[in-house]
Amino acid sequence: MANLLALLGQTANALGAFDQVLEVTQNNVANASSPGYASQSMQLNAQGFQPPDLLGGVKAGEMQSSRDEYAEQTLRQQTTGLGQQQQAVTNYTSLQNIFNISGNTGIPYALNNFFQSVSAWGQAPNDQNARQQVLAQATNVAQAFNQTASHLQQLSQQTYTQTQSTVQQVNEIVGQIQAFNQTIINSGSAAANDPGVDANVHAALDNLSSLINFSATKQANGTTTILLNGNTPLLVGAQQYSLGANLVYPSSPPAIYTNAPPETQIVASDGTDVTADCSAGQLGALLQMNNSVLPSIQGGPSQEGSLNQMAQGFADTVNQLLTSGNISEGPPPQPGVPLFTYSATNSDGSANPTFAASTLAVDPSVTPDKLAAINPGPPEVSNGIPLALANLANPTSAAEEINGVSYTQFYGNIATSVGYQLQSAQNGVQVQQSLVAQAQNQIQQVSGVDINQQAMIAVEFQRAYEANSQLITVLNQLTQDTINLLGTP
Amino acid sequence: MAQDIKAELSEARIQVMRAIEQLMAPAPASLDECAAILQNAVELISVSCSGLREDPVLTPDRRSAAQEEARELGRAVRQARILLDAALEFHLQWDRRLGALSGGYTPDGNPAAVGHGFRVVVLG
Repeated sequence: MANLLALLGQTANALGAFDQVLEVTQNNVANASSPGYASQSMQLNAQGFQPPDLLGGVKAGEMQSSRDEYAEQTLRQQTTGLGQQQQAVTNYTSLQNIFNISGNTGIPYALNNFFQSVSAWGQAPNDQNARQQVLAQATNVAQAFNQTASHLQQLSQQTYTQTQSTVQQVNEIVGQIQAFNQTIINSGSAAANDPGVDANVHAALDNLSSLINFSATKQANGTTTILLNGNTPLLVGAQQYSLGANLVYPSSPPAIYTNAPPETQIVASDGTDVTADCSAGQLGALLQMNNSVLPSIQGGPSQEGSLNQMAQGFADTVNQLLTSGNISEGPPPQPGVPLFTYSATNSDGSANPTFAASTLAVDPSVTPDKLAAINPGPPEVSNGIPLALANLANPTSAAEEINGVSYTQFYGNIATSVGYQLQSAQNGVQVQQSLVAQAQNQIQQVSGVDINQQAMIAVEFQRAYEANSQLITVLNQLTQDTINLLGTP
Repeated sequence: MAQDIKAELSEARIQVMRAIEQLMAPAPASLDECAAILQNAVELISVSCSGLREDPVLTPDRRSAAQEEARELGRAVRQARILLDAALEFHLQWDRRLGALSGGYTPDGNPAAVGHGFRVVVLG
């Protein structure tokens, strides 16, 4: 009778264990689409069986997660790359909108009209209307440079605002995980093994991964440690280390142009400069835009910027031609005056060419009758200066060029470079999307696979890799040969 | 022959895109399938390349279309390369971690080599 009761008790325990397994399965189904959730399984442990004392049966064991942290980290790295490329597409699309090359707006349109006006002036060098047109079109050129510089300044400001917002998002997400760490520290192993907490932590890490590059490590007590780029602590236990964003002039190497648009710096909670650790993710793309791409065009602490170079070069060349000519034959001959003005110095007199595009203007004291048309020669040419100015559209000598090309081509090269970067980023998004999909599939592949199986897969994979790698090398070579045979477009 | 170059390149690109689908889930079995697909692509583009060498005359429109298709093919091949290398990197890093877990580190700080045992692999 006693044995029968024990047997019934054992059966009830077994049913209870199976009931727990069913609950785990039910929880897996219910959380099938919960962000960050990894399926759980309950281990069933056999009980000793040696009647009459040990009656066998099963008891519920430990809960096991199918999550593979290494695979998850790989997915997060690829998500970081995707976030970076997507942000780069947004950045370069905004920049491309500023550099319109349709020829109907902006600098190329204004330049074209200016060259047409000086060409018309060359046909009638004493015509006041033609001279007035030259002044009007020169004003339009200056305004086009001003507007482009202003748009770049706005984009720079928007990018910085977005950088601040991204840093704030990073701090908020790390703060969410810090709260889970605090719960785990307060509640002990119950919270550390809670699949709900685990899912929430991983969902937050997934969100963080598109913003910055980081490594996340689960500690023995169940808390998560987060290091920015594997270096700078963002979260250790219950202690969060917040990031901040500032505008600065770099000290090493020191800034050359102290009033140029500053660089964006990311600082750790102790004030340390950690910008170099923020090289990937959305934050990395934003920093790349404000600290590298935009300074190369609008100027920065250590560079003039191609737009300023163009504005200054164009103004200097036009002014040089006009001042080399004469307004009247005299006697005495009246020399020409400069048409354009711009600022290339700081208030203390030190050189700063980063203002050139934003300050380019037509000297208000220049009236149509002050435009020098006469090239004194010898031989003297009554319309020599307008003809020389018109030649800037299609230069034939180095003096008429900027970096070996015409001013219109120079502008076109800036726009082409932006377009190329945009296309690269768009291609990068496509590639990164496939890498994210691959990483997601790898998570599925390794989920539930034991270490020995995985080791075997790795060996077989390396064998299969060689064949595929060689075929791709051949394909790449053949494709290049075909492109070369077809010639450049 | 050379006038069909765009269609041939397009077919080769379709094959590479199929290989990319296999590389999205890079298990050893799918990589074997991928190699067979890439082999097809190599054969297709070899024919195109040979045809182009023998008869390089193309109308400007067809040349332009073929150039665009060749660039698309180039992008697809680069994507396949990146996916293949990323998958290998995943397994190599996994192997290094397993080595560190099972055998610790060597004197120069690298993870210990993993003893994979011996297996017979029949190819072909």
